[in-house]
Amino acid sequence: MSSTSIRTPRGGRPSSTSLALLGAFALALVCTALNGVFTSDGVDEPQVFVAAVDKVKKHMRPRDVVLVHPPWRHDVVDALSAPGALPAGVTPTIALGLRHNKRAGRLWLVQDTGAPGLSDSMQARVTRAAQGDVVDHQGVRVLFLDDSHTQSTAQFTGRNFADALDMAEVSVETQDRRVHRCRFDGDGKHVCKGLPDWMWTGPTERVIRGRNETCVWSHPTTGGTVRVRFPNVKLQGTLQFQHAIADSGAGNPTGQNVVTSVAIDGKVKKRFTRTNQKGFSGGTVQLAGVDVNAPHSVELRITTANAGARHYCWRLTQGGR
Amino acid sequence: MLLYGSERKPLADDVVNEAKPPLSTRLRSYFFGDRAGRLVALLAFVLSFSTLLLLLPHQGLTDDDDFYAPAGISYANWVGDALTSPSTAFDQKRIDRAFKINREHPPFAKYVIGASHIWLHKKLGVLGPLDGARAGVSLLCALMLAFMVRLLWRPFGPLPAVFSAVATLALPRFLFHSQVATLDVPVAAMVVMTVAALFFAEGPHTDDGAPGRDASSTSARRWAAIAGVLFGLALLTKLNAPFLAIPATLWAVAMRWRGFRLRSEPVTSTPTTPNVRVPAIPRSLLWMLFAGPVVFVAGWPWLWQDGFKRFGAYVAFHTKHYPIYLFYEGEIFDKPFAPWTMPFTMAWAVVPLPVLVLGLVGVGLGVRACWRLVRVADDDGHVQPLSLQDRLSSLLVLQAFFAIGAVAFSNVPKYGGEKLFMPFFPLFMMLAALGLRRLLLALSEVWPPVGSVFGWCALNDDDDSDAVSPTTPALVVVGALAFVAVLPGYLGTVKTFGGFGLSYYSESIGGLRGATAYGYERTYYDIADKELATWLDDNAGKKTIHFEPNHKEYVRTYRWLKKGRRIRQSVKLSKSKDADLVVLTHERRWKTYPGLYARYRGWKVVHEKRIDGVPLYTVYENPRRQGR
Repeated sequence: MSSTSIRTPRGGRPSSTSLALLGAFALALVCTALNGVFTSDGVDEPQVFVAAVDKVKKHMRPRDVVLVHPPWRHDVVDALSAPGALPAGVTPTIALGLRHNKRAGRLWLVQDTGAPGLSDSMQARVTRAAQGDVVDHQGVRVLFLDDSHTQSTAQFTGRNFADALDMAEVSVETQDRRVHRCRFDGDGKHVCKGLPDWMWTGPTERVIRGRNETCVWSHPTTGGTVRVRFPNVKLQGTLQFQHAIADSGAGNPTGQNVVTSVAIDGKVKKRFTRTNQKGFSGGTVQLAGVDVNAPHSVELRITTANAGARHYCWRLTQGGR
Repeated sequence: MLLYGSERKPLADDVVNEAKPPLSTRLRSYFFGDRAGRLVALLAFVLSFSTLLLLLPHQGLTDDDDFYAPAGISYANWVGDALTSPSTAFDQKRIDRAFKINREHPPFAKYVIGASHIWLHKKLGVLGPLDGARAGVSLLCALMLAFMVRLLWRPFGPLPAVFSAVATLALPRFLFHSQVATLDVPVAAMVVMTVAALFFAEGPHTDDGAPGRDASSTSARRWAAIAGVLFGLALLTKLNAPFLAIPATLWAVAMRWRGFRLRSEPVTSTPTTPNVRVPAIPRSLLWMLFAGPVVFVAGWPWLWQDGFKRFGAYVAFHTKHYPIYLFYEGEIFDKPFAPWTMPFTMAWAVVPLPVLVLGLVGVGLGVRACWRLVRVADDDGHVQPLSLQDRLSSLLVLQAFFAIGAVAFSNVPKYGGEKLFMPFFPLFMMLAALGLRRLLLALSEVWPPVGSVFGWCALNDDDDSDAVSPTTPALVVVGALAFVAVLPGYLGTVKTFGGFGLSYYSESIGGLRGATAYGYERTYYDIADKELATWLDDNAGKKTIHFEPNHKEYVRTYRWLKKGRRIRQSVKLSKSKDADLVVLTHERRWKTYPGLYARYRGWKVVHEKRIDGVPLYTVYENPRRQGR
């Protein structure tokens, strides 16, 4: 017989541990049952959202974005898309992202207060928002979130620069020294009008040394420079840069090496050369002497002597957690 | 005293005791016996495997099915050749041709996948081509459940043992993974089976008269060898497996750490020589150390040529794994990877709340058992004063921590919700069974009649309680308690079965609605569910279909649906974003999702899948092509 076996109770008062355990289990059952019962939103009617937004829409500007929460309320987005529900040029959505070109707009949050809460990152922005800008209407709250995501003041504080492409300024200086400014389009790419259709900058998935890899496509131009500039970055000590020529182009005898300079505040900190081979290469850019508390611009300058089959892409990250 | 079937020690009065004990005592004696444990384990295997097979044809497809099923079929065909025409099969070119496909993962689970395809599809014709392959994963899952019952039967008792298996299958996400041709449930199965063998070899031996066997017994020696072979097969399944050796070693050391000695007193004729003494290494660990790698290499013909180079490539593939997107707490992660908290948060969020509470209680008891283990450790690992329950729970809690910690704390991509740490779930469910045991004890303090059931639940091996007959109300209450603990999981399965299991979130996060609002993935794995496939088959006609944001995976999975005659050959997928029908899966991990949502918002919605009001995908009709 095992000497530490549990014994049948012989009476007496239940221990506090046992009571706590029973209480926790009972609570779990109650929460489970309630979760099954309360599955509706606080506000069902989309027009209530429209009415709430109506109270503040005079403050909205073209290219502002109205984020609807919870994110499954497509019906609310549809209602806000109806003529007159929002000022012209204001976009309702359920998901923030590249499409909405955050650099030119401001963010409004329309939230059903009876629905489950926001993600941590969004909640942090809500907490930062000025309380005076909050409108409550029959269970719908409308907040004007600060301008932190707009171009003038938006600061990239994240890790992966691919996430900040919407904040980036992309231009291409061709061999004849003409500068083409590229436009950020709905598919999350910077498209450069007047240049060949492969001259875009944006997220891509390519086969690199036999594997599908995600990176940012930036096809270089012969004798010119592709510039990808992140104007307002909170630096985190070091930058990690990797670049590659996709297998579809690596080894092509026409193309030449691709040289990318990483510049901080206009000063080149390091140059990386991608030779005409498969696979990624790269390294770390040390930011010694750079005030990490001040905003900085980070720029990639991508050049090549011959852009033939330079199916080139890069990754730029910083810090980490 | 409880007796354990064939392993009970003969009693002195066995021969002379002519008077038969009452039926209830005899039943109980049998029920607690190892023989009954084996029988119930077998029953658990049969029931779970048949249930999984019955449900299999309705399960959705993952994008990994198309990697592992063809690989499994290729490997199994080679094994067939090796058995029938060994003279040609062992030619290196043939080996390379068979094993080149999906060489980034070792082959054991794929052998099983391929063999089940050959038997259940080709020979018996009871399942379609892909389902036949996926049945191999279900088979390993059912084996794992049987091992769980067998492992817990004696230390925790019959009710908790059965509960652990039932609760594991009640996890909607685990159920999903146990029916798709991937390696996650197979590696979970192999980890659990190895842990069970390890415990059978090292855990139960006691010298204090308690039921069990000595480590030197034939049975223990046999289990030690089995542990070594199973560990090798686990290594041969997926890269999670090596990590189980760490907690196994820690556990063994914790049991016998007092055996370590560093003495500086005079020893024989060399008075100043320090005398370092280490305890004997458990036989099972030695088997794991030596048999594991042998099984690994012998079972993977791909390594027979250029072994070091190919093994290096295999390790490098995983240590330098390409990043995969993860949408977690409102942010998209690829590289740098998601924070270490992600596996723990996901585990918390996908285990039904009542079982989660029981599991956490079990973890608490397991941690306490570890402390006890360290306290009572002796030279040779006998740890006599420690109960079987403490020995097992300490092993389980260490294994569970390493199963999830290996993903959380290593610098590897974290993606795919819970799939990367699948071995954690059965281990946690076994701890939940321990939690249930403790819950019933707590209940008995409040309502003493529950104590009458303890004998039936093996909650008490106290001599005095043997005479207590369980009362009907107590049986009902205990049964009801176990039932309500697993019920939410099964209700979750009912809601999400058929390809939506990965959309299951527990009540602790507010279900799918809460998780979606808080910024978690609604689903992943580019699931091709058969509900949508059937709808498209019925309604698309000649219209072209395009999936967003990740069309290419559906091209592969829909090929299998056609091959299995689930949909007609005429269903036409198109690479063009300008297709007649566009299926937008609402997966926020794709950076292009917001733009795609905006693009298709004005299009007519012709079909949509929602769970709890949360859309998983929407089928839009292209306005430029309406009326075609």
